[in-house]
Amino acid sequence: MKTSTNEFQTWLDESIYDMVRFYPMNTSEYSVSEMLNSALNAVRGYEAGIFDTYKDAVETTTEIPLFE
Amino acid sequence: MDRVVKQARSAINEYIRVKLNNIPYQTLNTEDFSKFIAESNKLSLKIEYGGSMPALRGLILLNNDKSNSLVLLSDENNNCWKRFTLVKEICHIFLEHEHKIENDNALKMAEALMFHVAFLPNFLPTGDTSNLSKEAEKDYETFEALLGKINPLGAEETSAVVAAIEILIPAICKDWISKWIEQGCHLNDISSKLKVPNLILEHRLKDWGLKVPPLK
Repeated sequence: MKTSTNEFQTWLDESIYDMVRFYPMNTSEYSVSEMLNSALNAVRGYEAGIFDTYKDAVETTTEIPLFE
Repeated sequence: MDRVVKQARSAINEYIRVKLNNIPYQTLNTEDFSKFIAESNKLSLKIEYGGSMPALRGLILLNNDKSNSLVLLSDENNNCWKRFTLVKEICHIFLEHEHKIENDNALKMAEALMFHVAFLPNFLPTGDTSNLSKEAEKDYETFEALLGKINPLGAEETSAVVAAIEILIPAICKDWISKWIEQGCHLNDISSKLKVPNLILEHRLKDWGLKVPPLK
C-alpha cells in the first residue's frame, strides 16, 4: 500500500479541521502508513460523496429486558 | 473512581436528566446521544459511514475552536461496532484531559497508537493479547501504572474506549446481566439486547468480575 503520511497531513492542514483521532481496526495487522492511508481514503471518499448519513436504528430503552 | 469513568458518567447523567426525564437507560440510541453531546458542546456534528478504510474502524475530525466535527465510520464494522465506534469517537469531545495535549499531527497520532496497542493490544480492544509484553503482563492489573508508561496520545484512545464501554454498558445493567448469566444465557443473548460487540461485552464482564458465558 502506498505511503501517504504527508498526503493525509497536507489534507488535514488544508481542511477546516485541526485534530484527528483514529480507531484502528486491528493494529497488529496494519502499519502506521496503512492507518494514514485509510484515513486519507476515508476523507477523500467523504468529499467525493460516497459516504451515507449514519442512522442508529436502535431505540433507547429504559426497561430492563427479560431473559427469553 | 477513575477520572475517565467519572466524566463518562457525568455525560450519561446529563443525557438522562435532559432527554429521558431522569430515567436511566438500558440500551442507547448512539446517534441521539452523540448529537446531544455535540449540541452540549456547541459543536456541529456530521456522522457518515462507508468508503474504504481497511485499517480503521473510524475516525473523528475536530476544530481546535470546537465548532465543527465529523465522524466517519467504516462500513466494514457491523452495526454493533458502528455504534461502539461512534460513541468512542464522541467521547473525544468531552474527555477533559485531551485538550491539554498537542494533537494536530496525524503521524504522531498514528505512531502513538501503534506503540500503544503493541504494548497493550487488548485495550483498544482487538481481543488479541498474544503481543502483550512481559512487562505489560507484570503490570497488567495496575491500569494507572500502564497509562503512565505509554504515550499520552495512545492513552487517550484507551480513555475513549473505557468511556464508551461505560456509556454503552452502563453500571445499571450489571444486576440483570448477572442474573441472566446465572440463568445460563449466552454471551450473544446479552450483547444482542445491548447491541454491543461481543468483544466489548466480554471485556466489561471481566472488569466487573463476572463469569463470561460462552457464545451460542
